[in-house]
Amino acid sequence: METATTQLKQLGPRFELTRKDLLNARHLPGGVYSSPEIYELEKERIFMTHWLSVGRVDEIPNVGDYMTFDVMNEPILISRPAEDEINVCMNMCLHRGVAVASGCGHAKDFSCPYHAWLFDVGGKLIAAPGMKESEVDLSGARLKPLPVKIWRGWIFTNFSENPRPFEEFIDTYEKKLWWFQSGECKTAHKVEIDIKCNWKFLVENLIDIYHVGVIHKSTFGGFVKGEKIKFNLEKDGGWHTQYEARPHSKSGEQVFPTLPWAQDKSSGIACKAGIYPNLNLSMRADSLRMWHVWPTSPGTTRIVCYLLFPEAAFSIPNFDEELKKYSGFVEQIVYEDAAMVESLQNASGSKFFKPGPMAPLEEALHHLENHYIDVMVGE
Amino acid sequence: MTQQWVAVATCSDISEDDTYAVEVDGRPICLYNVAGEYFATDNKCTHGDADLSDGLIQDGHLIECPLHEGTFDIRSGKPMRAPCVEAIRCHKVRVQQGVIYLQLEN
Repeated sequence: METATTQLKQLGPRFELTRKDLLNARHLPGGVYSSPEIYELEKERIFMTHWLSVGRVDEIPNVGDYMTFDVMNEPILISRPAEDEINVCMNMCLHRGVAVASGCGHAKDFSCPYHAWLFDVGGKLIAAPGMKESEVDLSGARLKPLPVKIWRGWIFTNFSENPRPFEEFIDTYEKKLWWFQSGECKTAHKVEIDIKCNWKFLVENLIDIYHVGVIHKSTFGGFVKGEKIKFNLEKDGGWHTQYEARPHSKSGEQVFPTLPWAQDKSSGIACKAGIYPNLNLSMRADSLRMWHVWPTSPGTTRIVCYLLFPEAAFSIPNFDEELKKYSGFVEQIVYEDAAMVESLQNASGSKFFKPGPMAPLEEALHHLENHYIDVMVGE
Repeated sequence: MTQQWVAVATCSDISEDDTYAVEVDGRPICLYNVAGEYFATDNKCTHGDADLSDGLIQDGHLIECPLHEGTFDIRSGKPMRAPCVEAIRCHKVRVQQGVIYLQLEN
């Protein structure tokens, strides 16, 4: 098998078709969705260099709370060593590399299950049993720390040795996303679903307005007027938009109280944004959602969608029941999409697959697919 | 209520500077022979999931937990080295005619 760089070079003429202006462009070639070599290169060029949201501060509210997570097989430990401190570090023992923590919960320290090396909640080595006679200096040793930035309740980290300044990365969204006040919200539920397709198909699907009226007709599609949507395209593959839709419920009726910052807006307000590579932010008049799209292999992806509300929503009558309905509604949307993106995945590996022309409604996909080419092969 | 004195072992069960695990009323206990003097503490380390009876007696009166090498003073139960921070419960011991008796502390 050729290396990823050779494969990307061979796809060069196909990329030129995606590079054309929207009304003449074609979607990305199947190879970028199916090749294991390109997937590995995406890890290096995209997921190991970009700022990534790996959870929310309200998931670990108390000192000693922690959670673990894998980003493309890189295990990390997210913890709260002090009231006003969030720590992210590699979940790899300093001895043989075994994960010192698993799952999530509360701990006073982490004891590696293999040889009992002991680390405090912030990742500092406290004890290395049986090492008294070792001549290696372990004083001050700690699990490899990663940078941490908190933005509107989200914990961002970066695997790069020299990450781009976070403030520069988030600047556009900080300035323009007035509607995504997730720092004023609490996590009500996390929807997690595994899908058998490449991660990019799901990122694209979450932007794709063109399909909404077709496959989501019975859930929410009938209420979105796709042709009226205008995208604001930002640098680095980002975008945001505002349009008229209806709340995310089966009946289309608003269930939860109107968000404090949407009081003076139309009841049908809908806002959406994308932060490259894998975040999709969304608001309806009564709720916020943030989708995380996590690659787990070239052909599998995990969707993690946080359902967020301000405090007031949690005290409505029958909250638990309403939340269950709402989260079921969101899951149903994902399952409607899953059948499509899994079929797409199948096609992407076929020698007969030829990417079709983009629809005018696919402006944001055009923007995103072109940004992908920029990141992977240079501008 | 004062607990009863219970016979738990004989002196010959425990070599000098060694430990011996017993159970009293279902509670795991560690007995120590420190230079011919007998002591008892709870056996489960107050830090991790380990039995102190599997550890080594050091520097005279310290028991070192085998898991993370934290230590307690066998005489007082006081934590002496990290990661042990919570004292270990001590129990009264007396020896009569080669038999070790113990009174459980709650």
